[in-house]
Amino acid sequence: MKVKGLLLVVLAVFIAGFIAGCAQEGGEKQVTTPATTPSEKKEIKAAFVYVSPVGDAGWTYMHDQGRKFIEQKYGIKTAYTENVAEGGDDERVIREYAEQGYDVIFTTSFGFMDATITVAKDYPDTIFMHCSGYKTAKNVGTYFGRMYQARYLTGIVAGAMTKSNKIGYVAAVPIPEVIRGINAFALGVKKVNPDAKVYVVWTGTWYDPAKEKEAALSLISEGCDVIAQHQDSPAAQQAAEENGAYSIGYHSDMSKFAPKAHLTAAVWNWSVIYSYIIEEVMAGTWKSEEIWWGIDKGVVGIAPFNDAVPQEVRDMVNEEMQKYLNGEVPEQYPFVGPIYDQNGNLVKAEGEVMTDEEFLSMNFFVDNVVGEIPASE
Amino acid sequence: MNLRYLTPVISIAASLVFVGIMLAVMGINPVEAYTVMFTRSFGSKFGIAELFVKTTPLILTGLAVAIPLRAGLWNIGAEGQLYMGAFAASVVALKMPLPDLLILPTMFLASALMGMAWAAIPGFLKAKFDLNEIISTLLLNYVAIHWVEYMVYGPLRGKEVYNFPFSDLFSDAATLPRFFGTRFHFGVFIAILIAFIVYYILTKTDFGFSVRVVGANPRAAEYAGISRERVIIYTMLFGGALAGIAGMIEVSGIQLRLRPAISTGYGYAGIPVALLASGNPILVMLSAALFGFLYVGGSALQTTYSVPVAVVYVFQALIVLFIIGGNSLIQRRG
Amino acid sequence: MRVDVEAVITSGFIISLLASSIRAGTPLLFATLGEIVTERSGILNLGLEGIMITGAFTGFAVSFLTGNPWLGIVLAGFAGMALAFVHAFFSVTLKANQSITGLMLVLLGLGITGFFGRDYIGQVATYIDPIEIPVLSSIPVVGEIVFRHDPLVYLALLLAFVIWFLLFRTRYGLEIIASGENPEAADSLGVDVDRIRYLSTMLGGFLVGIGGAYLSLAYAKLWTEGMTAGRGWICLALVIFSGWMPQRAILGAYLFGGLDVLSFKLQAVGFGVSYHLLAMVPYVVTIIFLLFSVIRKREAFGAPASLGLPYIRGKRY
Repeated sequence: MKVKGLLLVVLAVFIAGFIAGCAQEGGEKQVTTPATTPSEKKEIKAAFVYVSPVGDAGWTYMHDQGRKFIEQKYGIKTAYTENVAEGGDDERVIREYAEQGYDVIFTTSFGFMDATITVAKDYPDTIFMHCSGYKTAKNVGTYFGRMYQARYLTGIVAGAMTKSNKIGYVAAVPIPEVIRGINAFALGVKKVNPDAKVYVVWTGTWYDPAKEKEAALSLISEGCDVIAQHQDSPAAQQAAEENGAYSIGYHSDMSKFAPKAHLTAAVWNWSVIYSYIIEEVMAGTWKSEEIWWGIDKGVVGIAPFNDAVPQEVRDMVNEEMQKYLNGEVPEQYPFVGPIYDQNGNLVKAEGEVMTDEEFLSMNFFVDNVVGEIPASE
Repeated sequence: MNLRYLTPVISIAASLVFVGIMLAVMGINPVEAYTVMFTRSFGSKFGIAELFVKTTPLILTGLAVAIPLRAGLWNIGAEGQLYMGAFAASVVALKMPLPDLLILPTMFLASALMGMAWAAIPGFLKAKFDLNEIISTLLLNYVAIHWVEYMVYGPLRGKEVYNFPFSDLFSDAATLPRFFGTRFHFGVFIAILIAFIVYYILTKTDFGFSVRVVGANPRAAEYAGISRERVIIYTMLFGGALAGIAGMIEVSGIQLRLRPAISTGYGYAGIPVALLASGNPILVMLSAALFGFLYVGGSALQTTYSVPVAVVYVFQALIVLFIIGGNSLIQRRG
Repeated sequence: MRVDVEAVITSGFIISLLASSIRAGTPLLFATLGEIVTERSGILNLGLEGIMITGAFTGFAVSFLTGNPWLGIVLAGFAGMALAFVHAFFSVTLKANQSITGLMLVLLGLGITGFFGRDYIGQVATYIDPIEIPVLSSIPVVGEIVFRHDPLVYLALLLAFVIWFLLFRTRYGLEIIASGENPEAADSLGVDVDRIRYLSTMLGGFLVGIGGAYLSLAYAKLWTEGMTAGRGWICLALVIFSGWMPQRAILGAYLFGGLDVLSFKLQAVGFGVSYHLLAMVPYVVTIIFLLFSVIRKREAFGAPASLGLPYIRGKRY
């Protein structure tokens, strides 16, 4: 059988590779051992594990911008692997970076949490930083940004600019981070416009621009005149632009895609956190911590206003922003009571502040949101 | 050494050269890159364990495609059968109060039955109504994937996962044992054992004979009194069961919980795996290993050189195309 | 949640749903038409997803670089044709297994576009905008649904009829169908089966590529990796749904497009639906539809008899 011949060849190549591989590994070790002589300036290598392709134009893209930034700024070597399957391939990829001697490994998706912790146990001298999770260890820290603060500020803009009092929100998938964003946004709307409602449509996608645009169009045709979004692509912005509505961007300044519609955006700036961590690692002062920074550190922020945003709205936003910057409000602001859910139940009484713990598992909508959280019991 | 042994060498060499040129264009030394692929896959116990981790589901999905293929049927639905098997196993692991010793066997059975049930739909439709199985199995994949997604966002969502779309972690009793401090798990043995059993069934039993007759010449099968319909349904059930087991092994050996995306296309990769092995269960193990190597080596290329995942896709596609092309050339000459 | 039925109708729910269905169905229509031509000649090309994404990228990149979206559309077609040529080469010349080659095209398409596409992320190209057809667009309801789309929507419709004509009213079409049904007989009548299959596959690839470019240049108007998001696979189902008939593909594509957006429309009017369950609907509907079709009238829904089989002169399958 001819195919058998082919596979025998494959097998032969495998065995050859196996032998070569073993030989190689033995050789490599001997070469690398003397290279670790202590030098005055520590050479740092940082690795990034991404859940989607860098080309998603959103979440991973923004992290990669942060990676490029620290590579430039500190002249360090960075590496990345993209599109890594959560739970399936993550452990191998993380382990490979640890094995290759990377000093710090960033895992940038919640689903990498188990794998990060598992590998970290085997490499106590390697530093692991997991984005958006809650498990830590001696050599595992976590980091995230308080995006809801920026969402809140953009909600103020949306609430002030709507005429129909219907604001559309194109949501990705029902996980706490997305829900937190919607609620913070809705609280911002409520702050300046108690009559306005936020209408939520779920797409179930992170980067299917055609669907996301269609979801935005559905909201517009139901009378929403400001559209916010959570997905990676700016498709919802375009839908607003083409139909004379306003829009609020996410991830980065999306004004390029919707010059007339785009009022502002809630944006990430990961380079702030990455720079901090790299500096700590370089100085040898890194220790495991749970970094959850907000607008005061510049990890999150809002994009420049559109000319259409009047001065008094800008002033309102700046006034609220100052509260964060001056430390007048807790970091958890605007999640300070009284907060009611959609059914009118009091979730947080007057003056009570929601905890970070409650943030992590948030699974309700505040009272001026219209829509349901799918499949929640 | 005659030409037919030389041709596969040439087709593999050709793909290596072609991809090598691609790498060189990107400023990566191809020889070095290939060395990396090999050393990372074979050079440590973790690499080898990962090879097995990736090969195991491919053996089962490869067989899930190969068995119906023997009877002339295209099972494009191994992906969906895998998902449904994983789903059934997860329900057992999470919801059924069973004595510890019975949990894994029950998960195994449940996944096989669920995979079977999922494959029974296209099998039945093909046998009774001659409905094109390529399309029905393909369509059912999407239904299965969305079903699992629905379950992890809803009824199976864990209590300790902070409302993320995961189930809770399985208990230790619902987890396949792992060895050597790696992810090498008991499922590897299950898959290999199954491959030998399938080999035995297909070559040494009456059922295997009737499958081969139907596949080779349906008309002759009719004269020989073999029910084509029965063979169609049975081979689909058989294949579906194996893909379902692959799903169980993925969740209880690797993932340890149910998630929205539990397969990185194992079901689809099963198709080239089966074809490359011409449906021979023993050879399926080898071709699954080849694909496992492409996965592990490909990811080594990514971690080492930060090449985009796109390059790995192209790499895999080219290698398969060259092998298939070379293969066809030999077969035509022979 | 309770829904006020009257409010739903008066709020333009139906109008916007139908208009969206046409929009969402158009990329599917292009690709389905392409695959119908391909499959009619006996070649099964499972690689639509890869060809579509290649078209989406090529169209966007060309429009970005030249400022001419129509050139982008045309070159996207040629890029699709190039990938289809690879498929034809393996399927026709090498007589290799068509399923594998098709599946590999998906990887190839995703790979190539991911590799070259990175520099085009976040760029703005020139796009094809909707036009309002004078007079017709001002007809109430119908005008809103049908006559306010971009020109490619009408091109796709026109193509459906052109391809119907090509397949069933020309000699070339006859040769395509003969190659797909009974290549031996076609061969004995002097049809160059290999040539017909090459041409059909490449023409098919051309249309699929345009379907992809529609996504990036007229529909979503941007480029992201993997933006076809599984539409290529849906089109494979659509080909069967339409019974390999171009005119039925119109209905099928719009129906599938509508199912795709139905979830959003319902949510926007406050109707709580599980998008996970709704996402299954197009697939379940297709299976049920197929089932009814085969039970009722088998022959009208038969695939080309030699679909997916290589043709080697003098060798019977």
